[in-house]
Amino acid sequence: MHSLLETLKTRFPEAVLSVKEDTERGELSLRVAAPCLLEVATFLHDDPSAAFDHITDICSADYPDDTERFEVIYHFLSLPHRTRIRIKARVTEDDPTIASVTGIWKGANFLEREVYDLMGIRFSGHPDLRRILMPEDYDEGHPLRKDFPTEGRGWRSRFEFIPRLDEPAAEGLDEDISEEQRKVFVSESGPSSHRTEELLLNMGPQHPATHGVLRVVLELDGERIVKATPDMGYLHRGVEKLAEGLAYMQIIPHTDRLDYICSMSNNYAYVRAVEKLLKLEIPERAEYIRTIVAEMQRIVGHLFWLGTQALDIGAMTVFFWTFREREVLLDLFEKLCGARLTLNYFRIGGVDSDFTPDLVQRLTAFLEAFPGHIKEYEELLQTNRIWVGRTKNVAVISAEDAINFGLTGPVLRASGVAYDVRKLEPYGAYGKVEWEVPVGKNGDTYDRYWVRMEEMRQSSRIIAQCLAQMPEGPIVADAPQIVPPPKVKVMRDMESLIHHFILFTHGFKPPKAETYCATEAPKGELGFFIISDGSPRPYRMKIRSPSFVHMGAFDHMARGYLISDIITIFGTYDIVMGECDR
Amino acid sequence: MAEVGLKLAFSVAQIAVVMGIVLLTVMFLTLAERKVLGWMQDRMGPMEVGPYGVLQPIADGLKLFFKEDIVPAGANKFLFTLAPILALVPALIGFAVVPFGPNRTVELFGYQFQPFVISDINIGILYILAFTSIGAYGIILGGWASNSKYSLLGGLRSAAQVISYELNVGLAIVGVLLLAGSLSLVKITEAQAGGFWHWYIFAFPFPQVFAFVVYVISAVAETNRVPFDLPEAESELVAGFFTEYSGMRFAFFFLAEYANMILVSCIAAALFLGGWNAPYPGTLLPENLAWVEGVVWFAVKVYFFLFLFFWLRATLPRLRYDQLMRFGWKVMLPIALGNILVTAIAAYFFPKG
Amino acid sequence: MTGTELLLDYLSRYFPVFVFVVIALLFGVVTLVISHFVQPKYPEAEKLSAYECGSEPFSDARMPFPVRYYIFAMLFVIFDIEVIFLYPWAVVFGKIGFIGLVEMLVFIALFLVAYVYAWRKGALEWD
Repeated sequence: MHSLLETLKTRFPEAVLSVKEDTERGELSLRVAAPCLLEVATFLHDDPSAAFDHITDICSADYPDDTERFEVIYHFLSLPHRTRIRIKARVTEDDPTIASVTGIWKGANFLEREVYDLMGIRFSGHPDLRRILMPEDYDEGHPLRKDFPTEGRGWRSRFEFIPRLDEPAAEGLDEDISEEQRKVFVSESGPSSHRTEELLLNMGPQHPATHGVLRVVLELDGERIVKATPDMGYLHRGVEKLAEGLAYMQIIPHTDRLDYICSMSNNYAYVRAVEKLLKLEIPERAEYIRTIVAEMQRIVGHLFWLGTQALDIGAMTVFFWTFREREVLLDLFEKLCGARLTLNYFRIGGVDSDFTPDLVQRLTAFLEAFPGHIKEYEELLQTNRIWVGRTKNVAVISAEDAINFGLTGPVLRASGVAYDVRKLEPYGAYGKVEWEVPVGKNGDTYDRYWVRMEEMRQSSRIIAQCLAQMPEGPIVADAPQIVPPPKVKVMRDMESLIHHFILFTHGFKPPKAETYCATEAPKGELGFFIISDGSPRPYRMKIRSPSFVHMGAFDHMARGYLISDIITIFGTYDIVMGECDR
Repeated sequence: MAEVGLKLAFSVAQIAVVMGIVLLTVMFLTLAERKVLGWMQDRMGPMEVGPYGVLQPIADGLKLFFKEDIVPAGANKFLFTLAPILALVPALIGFAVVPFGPNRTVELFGYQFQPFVISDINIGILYILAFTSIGAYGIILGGWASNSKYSLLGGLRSAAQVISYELNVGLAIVGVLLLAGSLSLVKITEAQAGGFWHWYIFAFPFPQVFAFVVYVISAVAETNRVPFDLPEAESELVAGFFTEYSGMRFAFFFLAEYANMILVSCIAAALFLGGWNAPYPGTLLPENLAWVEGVVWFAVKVYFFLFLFFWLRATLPRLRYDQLMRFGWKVMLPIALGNILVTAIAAYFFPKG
Repeated sequence: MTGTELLLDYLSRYFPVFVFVVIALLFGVVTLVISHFVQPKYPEAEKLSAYECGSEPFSDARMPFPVRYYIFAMLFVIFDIEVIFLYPWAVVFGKIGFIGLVEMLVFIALFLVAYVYAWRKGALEWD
């Protein structure tokens, strides 16, 4: 790592402005001069000693008082060297322009569009710089800027939501869509020789198989896809902006609503990021409990995925069978914390409630039966030639492309890349139990299916071992400044009452720092990047959601396949729009 | 003249009974399908309307009857209305030649008639094939008239699929015709009397097993059922050709689909499984009650096929369109053709009697 | 039977079929008409617009569609007519003996030639 820094300093003496190594959090961050960004980025990607082949995230921060107001922050990961790096570059308000890195990492396309949309930074050389989360015709500026009010500027109130029934119905369509509007959805090469006009078909947002309010505009040649343009943001709620106005503890329920299928995983990712920021140690029992519930959630998430994917392809029964098993786990969640979907179970410093013997018993019973259920699903699908025919060699993505697009999770692993945050940077109890990372070969839909099926088996293996190893002890950290005291103590102990009061009126104050923390969610790498200015609220919180990054590769994966395959591709991504749009 | 009036009265009565039974069966089928699927999927199916949900089809029917029937703004109103009728009528009138029970003549008020078949015309099977083809017009017209891309794609897909598999149906039954030497469903069924080894699926000199398999698969495809339900694949084309339909017009497409299911099941039972004939020679009940036995056997066979439809739906995923067409043209068609050749040669060397 | 009797017998057999067609048509039309009078009507622009997943359609749906569908329709017509020729042959097969068998083998061979030609030309491939 140090040698890399030296090389960078000697090769780009003017570009590297400063280097900051956060040894306690194990993070390396580099300030570079904005005009030299492309050079440095190219070097980081191409040079074998750096080899930052995987793009993790691009985000931005706003410092209105500084002369160079905006900061663009890149997170790269080197899979060969297993290191992460953070590159930061500043641009001014008058000319918020920086070179685009889409030429190096294709995954930067959507990430840069998001930065442009929410912060107003322009990326020169970007092929398609449009708004991505906010509506196309949104004219109220860029919402993540600090001078933009949290409650918005009233754009929404200009809409007419309620149809007027007293007016006569108009005949036919309102107006034709302009050539300008069509253009973005048409492939660069234009209609091929034997067509005079391209056929554009809207799929979504109100479509049974788009897995939420996602719109994809398909350019079709017969039934073949020439170009697929995802149009997102229908579920954009501005969680990142909201977080800037909330104390750290208050943000946890908001994370529930990101990937609402797997709220435990989101909770986990968030509290881990905050704990990393605080450098807070967690009691061992809590670590085990967290690992167990996270893996339970992974099974729930994969069951949900399997059911919906099978249903999309027409295998209806699998859907109900997976929901039967999912129900058992949801019952266990209910027993554990009273909720079934938006669980809000994690606390900064530990978890909300302890496992009861009854719960452990029921979970063990589930684990015993579960492998049999997986076999049932496989009998219906894997042994069925229609299923194999529908999934094999569909939506193939090579390992190289998958890395370049920044894909993570089962989608990346199916292409043959054994990247799993749980192995790379073990957290929780993952380092203490035995398990394997299933890796596919072809990167097609079938491999992604297989990887997820295998992961469910591994998850039940992890849970079983954790249950056996789980030590006794407290379930929250002993840190009165951060962890609220139990209610009993609040009522009887003066000091606890003071802590309680301070925590719930002000919140705790983390050190002035910044940190990126990645967690392996069922859908891929879910990362939280938090910039703290020492106040009880995050100065900037960026959520690196796997679904959003995965959508960047959608067009690449869909081109050349049939309309029927689009459905398979939606399913194989396992996207959840709550997480994608945030 | 009086004779014509009598004939009209008898025909109307017979048709009313048959149509009533068919429509009732359709109603019952919608419930049965949901119940069977429910049980296969570890759930209970409809449970709210009436005891165990048995009144659910009535509730559904009433709901559709009193529901707003939306005609999209860009639609061709006449064709949009014509399409569901065009889909339903052929599905219903196919039953005119289906023998539901033993072939016998009863005299009532001095008029002789066959109680278990509306009309025993000598080209019965051809008549059914001809009319079911008209159903494809209903589908494609409905898709086109809606002025919605999803409807259009669904309609086109459906039309191409129906005609492709229609061809296979046509080829599959040639073997049976060869052995029976008639196009009348009544005569074909009669030729299979005397035990299950006389049924054409097992019959000497060449069992029509392959033809039977081709016929059943093609029949599933023709009725747009899983795994060939691509025209209405809800995950791709939303609802296919009836995306824009609602209320009673929608109900007609629905009725047509289920009536077609019953019809192809009846034909399969009559052609391959001996129709009303019991799997053993003769009858168990006394002569004057033998017809009960025949009708029951026929119903059992038909319901076996209907159950098969549900079973397939619970088990199989959906084919992709290119796979479906390839399967129809490159697998089903050669098998059906080969079956004709072998059957003809076998029938030549081992003639009947 | 004389010619007239044959015709009468023929008509009397088809008479119920004709009645059935009329009744089925009546059933369809009457049901739609009654339903038309009992159902509510609240038309409204958004409700009447063609469904395209909640987005504004890019173009009219009545666009030119792939010629492939026509190819299959044509293939169907050709092959279906050939199948129709097989029907009368199959029905009288027992009476026409060896000549009938050979003739039909020749016919099916021709059918096969057309089929193999279509296959080799790629007409049976969806893509």
